[in-house]
Amino acid sequence: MNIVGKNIPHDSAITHVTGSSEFVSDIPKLNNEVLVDFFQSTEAHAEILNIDLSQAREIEGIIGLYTYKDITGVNKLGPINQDEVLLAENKVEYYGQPIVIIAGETIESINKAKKAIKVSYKPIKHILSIEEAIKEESYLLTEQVIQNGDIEKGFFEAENILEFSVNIPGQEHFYLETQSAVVYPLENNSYKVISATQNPSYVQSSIAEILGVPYSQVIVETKRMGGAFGGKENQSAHPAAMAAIVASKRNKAARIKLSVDDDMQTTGKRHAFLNKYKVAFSNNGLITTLSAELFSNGGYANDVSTSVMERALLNAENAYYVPNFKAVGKICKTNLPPNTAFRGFGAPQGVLGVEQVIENIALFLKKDPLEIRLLNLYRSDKNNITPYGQAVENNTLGLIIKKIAESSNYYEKANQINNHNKSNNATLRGISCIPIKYGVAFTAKFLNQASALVNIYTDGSIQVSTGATEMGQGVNTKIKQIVAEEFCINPELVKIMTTSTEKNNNTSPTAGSTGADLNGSAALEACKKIKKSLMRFASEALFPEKPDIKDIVWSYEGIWHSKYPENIISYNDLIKTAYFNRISLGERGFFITPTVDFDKNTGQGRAFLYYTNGAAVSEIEIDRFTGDVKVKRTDILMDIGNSINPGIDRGQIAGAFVQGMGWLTMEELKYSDNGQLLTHSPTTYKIPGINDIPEIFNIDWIENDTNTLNIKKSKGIGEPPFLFGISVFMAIQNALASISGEESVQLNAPASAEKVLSKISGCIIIV
Amino acid sequence: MRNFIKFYVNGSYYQVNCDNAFKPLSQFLRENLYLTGTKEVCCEGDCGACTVLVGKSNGGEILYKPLNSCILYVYQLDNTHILTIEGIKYSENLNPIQKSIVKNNGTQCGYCTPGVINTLYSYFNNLSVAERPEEKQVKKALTGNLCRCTGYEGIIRSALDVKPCDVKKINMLYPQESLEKILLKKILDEKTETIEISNENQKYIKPSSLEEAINEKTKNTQAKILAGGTDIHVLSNKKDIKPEVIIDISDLKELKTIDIKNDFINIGAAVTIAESEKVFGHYFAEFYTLLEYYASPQIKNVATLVGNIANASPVGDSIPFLMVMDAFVEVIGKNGKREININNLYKGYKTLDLSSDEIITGVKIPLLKQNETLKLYKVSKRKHLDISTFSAAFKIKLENNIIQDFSFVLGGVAAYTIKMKKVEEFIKGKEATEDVFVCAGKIIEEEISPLSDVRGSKEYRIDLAKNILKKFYLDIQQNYDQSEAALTDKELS
Repeated sequence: MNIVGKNIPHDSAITHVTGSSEFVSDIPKLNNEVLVDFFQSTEAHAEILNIDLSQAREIEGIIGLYTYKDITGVNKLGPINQDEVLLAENKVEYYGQPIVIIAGETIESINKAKKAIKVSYKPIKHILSIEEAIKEESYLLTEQVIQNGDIEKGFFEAENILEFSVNIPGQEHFYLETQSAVVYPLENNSYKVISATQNPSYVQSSIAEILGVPYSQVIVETKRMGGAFGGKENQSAHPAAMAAIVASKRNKAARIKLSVDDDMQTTGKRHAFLNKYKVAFSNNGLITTLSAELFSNGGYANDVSTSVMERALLNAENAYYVPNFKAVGKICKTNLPPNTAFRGFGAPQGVLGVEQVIENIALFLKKDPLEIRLLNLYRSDKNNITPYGQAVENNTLGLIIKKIAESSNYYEKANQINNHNKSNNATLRGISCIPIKYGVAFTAKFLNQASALVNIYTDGSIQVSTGATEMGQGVNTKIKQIVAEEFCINPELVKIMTTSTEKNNNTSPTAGSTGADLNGSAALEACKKIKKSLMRFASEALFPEKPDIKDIVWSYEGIWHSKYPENIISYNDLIKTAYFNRISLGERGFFITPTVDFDKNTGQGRAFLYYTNGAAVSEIEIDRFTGDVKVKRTDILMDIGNSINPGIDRGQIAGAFVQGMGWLTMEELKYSDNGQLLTHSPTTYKIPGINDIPEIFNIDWIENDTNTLNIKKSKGIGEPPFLFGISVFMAIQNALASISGEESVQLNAPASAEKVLSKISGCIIIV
Repeated sequence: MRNFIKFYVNGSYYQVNCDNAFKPLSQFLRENLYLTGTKEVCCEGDCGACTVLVGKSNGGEILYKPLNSCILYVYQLDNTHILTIEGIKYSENLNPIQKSIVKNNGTQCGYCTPGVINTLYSYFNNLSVAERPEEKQVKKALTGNLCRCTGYEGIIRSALDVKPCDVKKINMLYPQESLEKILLKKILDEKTETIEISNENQKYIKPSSLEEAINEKTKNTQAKILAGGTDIHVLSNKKDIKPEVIIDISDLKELKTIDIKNDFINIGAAVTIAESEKVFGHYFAEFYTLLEYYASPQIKNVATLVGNIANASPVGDSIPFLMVMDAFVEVIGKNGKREININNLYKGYKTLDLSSDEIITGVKIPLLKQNETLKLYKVSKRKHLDISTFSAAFKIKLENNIIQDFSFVLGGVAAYTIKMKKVEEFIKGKEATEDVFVCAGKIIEEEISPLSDVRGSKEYRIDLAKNILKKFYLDIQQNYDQSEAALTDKELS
């Protein structure tokens, strides 16, 4: 009767379906509450000559206008380097950059103020693209390198060498709930902040530093988010800090919620990358040497660009063994909002690149790309050491590909598709199988820590507080299951509390697919402490002569002494009795991820606790005349260890895949020449709708209980399946390859109908 | 004359005037009624998070339809019953759709969920107990609800797991007697009243007759005519463009008619796209199919065909169709009625050949004649729920493979939808061969000069224009015989 592994509904499912789940903007307004918004730069890069607020001040309903000069603490923030400003000082560095905070009684008054604020600029030359940044040598921080073997020797001995670049697009998070926060001033210059954030501790420290108060005077709470995907890992701090400034100046509750358009235009996105490759391979397609230079578009400040780049480099070989390997990463400084965390966190950019390497090798050798993939795949016995020195343990990749090739009928389909493309003049079809190997853990070692507070009340019900934030991914449900199982009780007795910096201090962001791993483990630690004292108490109560906790049996039926099973005591009675006997019924658990030890300076070490693996096969069809792409079928097979909650994991797989598919097929960020995002709402920025998902969509996983390193032998699942979107992208190229002859079919993602059609037009004349 | 709007929300009666009448419904629900289950996300009718059910009396029965409450303003709600997520539970229990979403992981972050459930409620409300939900229909129903978390897989499984016989019809959930006072008695028994509401900046007029509407339009020549409001309210929400005077024609009986007379389909200006779908299914299967990609159900339930004509977008989805059909736009002004061939209506970007006192009252579409075939194409970044990048319409009359007549219109290649006259002239009278259509593609380049914008480049649009001729040729070769077969009633349901 295990609870872990069961398909219990999402912790918030019932309140979600009744519309009673409370998000930040649903919290009832206080009478004296004010609205907060900001005035944005209309230049990508410029000196600010003058800010004229005189007219805006006169507007009825405007109760505060604040520039950087009004900041009492520091005008600085940033999760790694503190290289951002909250409000522009003497210059602006991206279009949309906040310059003035506006506090008003109504939206109408704020809109009037936005029109009345006059800022004059002296434009400076700006850089938007990676190419321009490379030309101008505009980089953030220093380059990062991961290498192994001898690439010079490798290229010298090569049978074949290919060199090419891969352009990889950015992506908007498009969480449905935009950035939002409400700040309540408390007595004595203290603040309570309700923020839609993946990172309450970062919001806390940012606000404290900006207001110039000790961290202890700022409480940040996060009940839930309406989606986040990395976009609320750091950039939720900015709006919250703006509201905090207003709250501190006016001593009133202050609320901010960005419009979709402002959110999209002013916050960072997935990093666009430009990857340059040189690859050496044998005549049968075995890769011997890979040299990669990865450039990311960082925006004007670091945010977490260095960590994103690190993960891109750590995934730059995906599931393939490369004996001679060198990957160098450089972050371009451009005049865009700082690009930030987004599901996959650099891995998709690293993996898409190397998968393009495989495709190009296959095209060059006129072989099926899957043959090249299998040839280079990490083995279990040998060829299983990554370029950063970590062994790929319990490797299930070979098994997974074998199984999915069978269940999806890959080889027969590939044949049929070949025939179809020769005979059909209206449509082209393509298929692709992509394996993934995704390391789970923060590569910044210190982040691999978590705390949890577990309190049992005298009726036996339990409150659990952790640093995990719920953004829909189901982390709270998994923690609930872990705690309920530990006490052998009905999960309904376990309540996961609002995440609060008051309960858990110095928490890591809920990110990197580690939410349940870290916080579930910390909660388990706390449970074990309580359970130990309860068992000691039970052993004393049940057998006072010779108390020994080893004799206590704790089960779903109750708690008893192994020698006196008839003296069974229920969980509830035990709790009650323990209370009257002054036994502590609350504990704090602390957890650090074992074994991880990656050295950023050498680029070597155990970067990850384990790998989540899988493979996907996608089939697509292209309309030869319009370039429209339809996804006919996708099969996904994963190794997710022992799933804590299969229903939730299935949802993560489906959702991540569709998001990844959107990234590479239809989501297109277009900017004006002066750096204004033109696709800033769902009218112009298209995420997949319900009709865009594969017509046939199969999701499955294999049995694997070898992941003993992680909580309940489970594996992190939030990000890895995002990479399966690559299978759709490569299936499109596969289709194009059938008519291309010698031409390259390499596409720049997203593979919009426009780009697909231009490839078709470039290949042959139809009819 | 009345100076307030009266409606029900979840069974409770409200009267609203002044400023509150000029709010988007989503805002009114959240801020005035504290019904925060309705989520506001895009505020332009493109995500469905704010979907509510709007009930209106139709011959004594109240019909409920999903609509986007962000671009539905309170002044549009007279004599309606609004159902929000808070109002569709079964007393203290979850309804079967809610239960299934909980069980099948149809919700993750929960932000799209209320809208999804409302849309699904409407879908099941229209199913008979004997029917089973079908995946294709579920997807069609949910075209207008974006979800960023689930990948829709859990939502679809949830919907397919609901037994229609378990779903209480809304009219059982809210017995009509309780709403009778306003919704039934007043609408059915009383004469329609004129409504006039003002606030500091705007005036809303809902005339009770066409005559009154014309008088108002003559008085207020700058007034905006409102039917569905799916364009006007996006501009109001996003660009703060608020018409000083609004004349609402959506309930005018004279304009709510669909009929077929003398080989013409006549569609009134107040007929919604959804209401016209059936007649198109019978007479223009090709346009009926296009309507699937036209917009979400939430939009089609309130937007009108005439609104699409009046909005005059160069990528308006119905316009190429109406132009190849030589449809007539019917207009009334102070000097009486006139009819304009739609091919003569557009004079420039969003510019119509109408005088300021004139109102479009309807559109008259000739039926296809013998040997005539219609083909319509829409290309957009996303197949469903997207504005066209490019659109094309063809009408061809073939006899013994000789092209007797040929009409060809493109959208998205100029400031307004245009007829490809040179191509038409080139093709007319020739034998239908590959060559003819490939050669026609060369002429097209001389005839169009599209712009590059966020939806596509100039080069792409030129490529599409050429290719669409080839695609059309291929399609008529394959489908000439059955392309215009009327759809059966089952297919239409």
